[in-house]
Amino acid sequence: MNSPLLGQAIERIEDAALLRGAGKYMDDLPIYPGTLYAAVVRSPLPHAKIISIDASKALALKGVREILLPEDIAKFSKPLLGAVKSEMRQWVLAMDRVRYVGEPIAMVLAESRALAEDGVELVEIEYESLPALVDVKKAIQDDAIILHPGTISNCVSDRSFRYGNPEETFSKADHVISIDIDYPRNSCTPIETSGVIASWSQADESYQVTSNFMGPFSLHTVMAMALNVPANKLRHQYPCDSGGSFGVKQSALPYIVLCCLASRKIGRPVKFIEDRFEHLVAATSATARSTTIRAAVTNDGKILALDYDQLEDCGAYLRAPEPATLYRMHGCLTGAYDIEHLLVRNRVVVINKTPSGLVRGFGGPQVYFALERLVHQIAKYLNKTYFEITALNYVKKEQFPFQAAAGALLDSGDYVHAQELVKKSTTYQKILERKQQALKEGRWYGIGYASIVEPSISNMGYIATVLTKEQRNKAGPKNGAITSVTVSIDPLGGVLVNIASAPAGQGHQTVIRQVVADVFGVSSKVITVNVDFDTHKDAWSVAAGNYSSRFAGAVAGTAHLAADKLKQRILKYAKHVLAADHDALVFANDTITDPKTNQNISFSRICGAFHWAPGLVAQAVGDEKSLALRKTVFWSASTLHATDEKDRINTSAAYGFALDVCGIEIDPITCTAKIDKYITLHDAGVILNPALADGQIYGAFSQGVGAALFEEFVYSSDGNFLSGTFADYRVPTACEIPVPTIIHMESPSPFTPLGAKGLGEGNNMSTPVCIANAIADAIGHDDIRLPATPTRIHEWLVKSQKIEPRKLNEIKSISRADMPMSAQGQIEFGISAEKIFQVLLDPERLKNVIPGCESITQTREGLDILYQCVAVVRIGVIKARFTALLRISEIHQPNDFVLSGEGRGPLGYAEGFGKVNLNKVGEKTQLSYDYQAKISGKLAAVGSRLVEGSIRIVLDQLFKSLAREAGEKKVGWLTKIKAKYKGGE
Amino acid sequence: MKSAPFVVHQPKSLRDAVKLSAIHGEDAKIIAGGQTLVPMLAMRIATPAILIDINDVKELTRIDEKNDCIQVGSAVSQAKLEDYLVNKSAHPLLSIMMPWIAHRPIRNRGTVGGSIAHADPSAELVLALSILQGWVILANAHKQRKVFAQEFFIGALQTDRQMDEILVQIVFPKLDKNAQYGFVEYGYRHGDFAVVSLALIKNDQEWTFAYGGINDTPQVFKEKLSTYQDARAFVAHLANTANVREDPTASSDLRRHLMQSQSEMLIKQIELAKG
Repeated sequence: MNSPLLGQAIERIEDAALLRGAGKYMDDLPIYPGTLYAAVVRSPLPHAKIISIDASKALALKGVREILLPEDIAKFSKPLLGAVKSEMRQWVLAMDRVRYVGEPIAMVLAESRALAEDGVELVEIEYESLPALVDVKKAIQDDAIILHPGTISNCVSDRSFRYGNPEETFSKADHVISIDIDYPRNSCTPIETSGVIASWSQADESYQVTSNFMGPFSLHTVMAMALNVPANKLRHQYPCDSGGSFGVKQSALPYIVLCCLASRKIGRPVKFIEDRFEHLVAATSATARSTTIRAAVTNDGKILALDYDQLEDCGAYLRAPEPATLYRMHGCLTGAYDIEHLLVRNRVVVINKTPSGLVRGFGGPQVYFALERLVHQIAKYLNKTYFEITALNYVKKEQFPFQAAAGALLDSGDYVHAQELVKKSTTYQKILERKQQALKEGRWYGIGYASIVEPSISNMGYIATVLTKEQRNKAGPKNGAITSVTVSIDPLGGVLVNIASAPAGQGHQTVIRQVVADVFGVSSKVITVNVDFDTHKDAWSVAAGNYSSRFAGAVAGTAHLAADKLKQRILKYAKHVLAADHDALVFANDTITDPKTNQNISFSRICGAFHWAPGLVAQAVGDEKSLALRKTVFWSASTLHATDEKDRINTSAAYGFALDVCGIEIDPITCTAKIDKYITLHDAGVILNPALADGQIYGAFSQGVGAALFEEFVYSSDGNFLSGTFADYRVPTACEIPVPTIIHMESPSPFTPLGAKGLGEGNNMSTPVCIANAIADAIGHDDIRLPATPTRIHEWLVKSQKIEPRKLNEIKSISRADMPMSAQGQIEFGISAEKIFQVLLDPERLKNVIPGCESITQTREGLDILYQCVAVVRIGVIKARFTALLRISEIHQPNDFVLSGEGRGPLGYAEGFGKVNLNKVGEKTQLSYDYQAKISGKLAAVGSRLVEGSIRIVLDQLFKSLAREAGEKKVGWLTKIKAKYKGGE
Repeated sequence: MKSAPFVVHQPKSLRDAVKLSAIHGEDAKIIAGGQTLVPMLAMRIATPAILIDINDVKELTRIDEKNDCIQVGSAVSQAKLEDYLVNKSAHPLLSIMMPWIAHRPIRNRGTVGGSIAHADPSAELVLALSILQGWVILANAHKQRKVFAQEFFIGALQTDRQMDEILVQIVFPKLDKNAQYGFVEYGYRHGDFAVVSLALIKNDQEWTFAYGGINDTPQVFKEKLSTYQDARAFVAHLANTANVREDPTASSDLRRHLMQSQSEMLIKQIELAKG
């Protein structure tokens, strides 16, 4: 008998193709002749009114065929539906306002992507800039500008929840301990970006789409409704390979709608592949969250009540399924602990940043960053160890299944035992020793801990918790999560399994083969697993797709159920063929055997009979329904109920457990947090394939390290996006990520068919806070922000008096929040100030001053002189063409004037103003300037490291050129520049 | 991320290259390894109408070692120079700096001239040329000229190269036999741009500290210091008084800290090496 494949570290069958370059990703797929390529015109500004769009020059370009404009969107589509009732209108192109840098405004269709990008540069858009909201706390103040006219507040949802008797518990508690946290914007950046091929069929008014959109397919309905067609007129196909998803490929959704509409407008198929820049700027982001969390604690450390106040940054639009980041974790907000009383306030805020969405861990990193920082603080405050506090508060083994305060039904586990396993591990002993040693030597070494429950298989009804009881009653109940799998057997006994799990590299085919081979007792070679997913042909429902770690618990389990149903059919006929009088036939070694008689028949032969001799089979079995060797099973966990009257919701079907410990040393030379040792224990129920399980843990751990120490989408104080390349958005590489020690435990879930639970997101949830706790311990500083970059760690070391503050005599001019950059400089000339002014006031001569100036017109406005011109700015290899408006005001000849300007071009939008002073110093004139500026769009996103220096270069070039025109000789003056500048935000 | 259209010329000689440069002037960009230019083309931050590809210009791919200097053709790959320095033990300071340039696959293509001409404030080769008081040879259609590093690097991404000129050769003077040297760099990830880098040369009592990444161009400080204690006091003073930039990558406070801590580390190494 073959030993079961399930539970073994079987090699991935996917890799043979992937490692040979034979994967079929979006950009590898064949396209119809005549397919046009799309490129998106995007906003360079965080917040502005669109005054006009002129696409005529772009349309005139050879190779550009059509441009999809906001007016087309209004004609053929409807706004995207949201989970929260609101006056916010969300179209797939900005209609009259742009609300974040990178927001799509138009889509250019051309014969190649390069030509489409040529076209993008020629679309001229006039904006009226509006103040940008970058801070959720400011955005909810009464005087804040309203992002979506028609709404009354930028806080688009404000819900409070109460479980047990929290107020009284807090008032009587021995201690109330609290902490404030801010979780940053970050992502998981798959190697392959979003891609779409869409075509419109006029004949039957339907759309056909191939894309790597990963689900959840509840959003298929959102797309169909936006496209204003019945759902069965939107056929969606998912290719067999996807280069990583991590939730992020949910953000393909608006591109699908856009490409469909573009195809409809031009009547040809349209292909769009998002590039890396677009992906970083405008795909999506995890929500940033500000939380104040409080705990009511007894003297011995028992946590009696929790109080969360969560303020969620969802970006410029609440894009479905948001605000799901908040509600996915709602049922298990009490984490791994038995805490009876709970208060929650959830506020969802819109600001001028990229809309948030699914990112691996989804809500977990945000919740546990607050909860586990708090547990660390409790231990510190009560002068106890973390393990003393958690042992007291963990849900105990005998309590499972355990209903948590907010409704999660924690299915199984033994957290106390997990803690014992970690304590006993040699790595943990090492960490303790290393800390003692470091303390002796005066080094900064800290230990961090984190305990989390990891939800998997989301209840599709959880998002309704954002609605009030009354709203929910009106909308009708939502609950459950259907998984569907089809197993069929061909006439030669080959098994085909179709799943709608939209894998992105996890190895779903490998595991399904293991599951099904075990059921039929056949070699895994005879099993083919098809992961292409076609909404017109495959069995699916709204929960289909690749998210919420649903594969192991739900999809693999359902495959087992489907295969088992077929097995029962085969068994019936095999009994007849083998003349067996009992059901205990053995399926093994590709053969079905009666152990009593030792009679046997091959699996393929008996399956062949169902195809070749259905009459015989029907005669023997006497049931026509049993004839088909194809079975589709739909499964939904029975424990996933709708949100109840008391707002309790079992948000997921299964809850794994992870316990992390890490030892971190702060390098005093570089202020870097170095992970010395890391232990991560996982209990994900039954493990289906240990190699893949470890692979998931390594991957999630790497991303957790990224979130903890490296990765952040940075915005300037004026709303500009500064992380547009992988040089700025620093994903750690193999060199920066240590190998963690993994410990496994298996507490089977009673609620999934195979007892398995998800484990792919655990470290995204546990690692950031575990590292933060270790850093807090090492430095003795409580307010830890992520990512804990050396700049931040340096600041904390100064605050905790471990490093002496510097006493500097830097002159810092006051810079306005909306002008985050400043530049100051000084240039000496051998000519008089009067001569300089002569040039300034004469457009013909000024034309020679402005670099690359093609045309210039002078107008006057009161005492101000205005010049409209085209200028070319050069900074090294960068060459940027700007249409510029310069204004000279407050003219005090020959002493000083104010020169301000704004320019726009394909590389973005620049604005600056500053005072220019001219002083006579002996024979010479000294020109000094003090500038404030901002740059938005592409230049800001990819060049933030150099952009401030660049502003000074441009000003230097300008004033030098001015001096030259005024009569200064060229030789020697270059070396006289003595400029100094300082940074703002 | 598809570049705007451009025309590529592939001259076979320096004469042809400078002629093209003279004809096309500011519409043209020189391309050799393309490790900076190609991504910038793809992002359309650089949009030259013409590229002059100098990879076929044989004169520019030579390394000539003299008694007191190493002359490197501008189209020599960084990997080639790196290997040359290792094999010939030709220039220990430059040799220890080379592996810090990005990653080896990038150095396989990236050229010495490309890095110098691009003048990134964090570039290792720019720092090396500055501390060594090296120079470059520039050529246009009519003449060649020699420009020292101090005059050549004007600002971030700004050099004294004129529109019609091509960078021909980079000359790295060798160290004095008895000189002690050191190099240290801090970047966030393997191969990242330096947040702060430091090269150090000690000739008897004369110390030269050159810092990369702290300002628009490498900042070189030369001082006569008689004791290691004086050296430490000097770098502490530098860390407090130098012009140091602040950008989204790092605070000026962190950069000052790195200036001092890395300098102290190198001073200590030199002190220990001398026994």
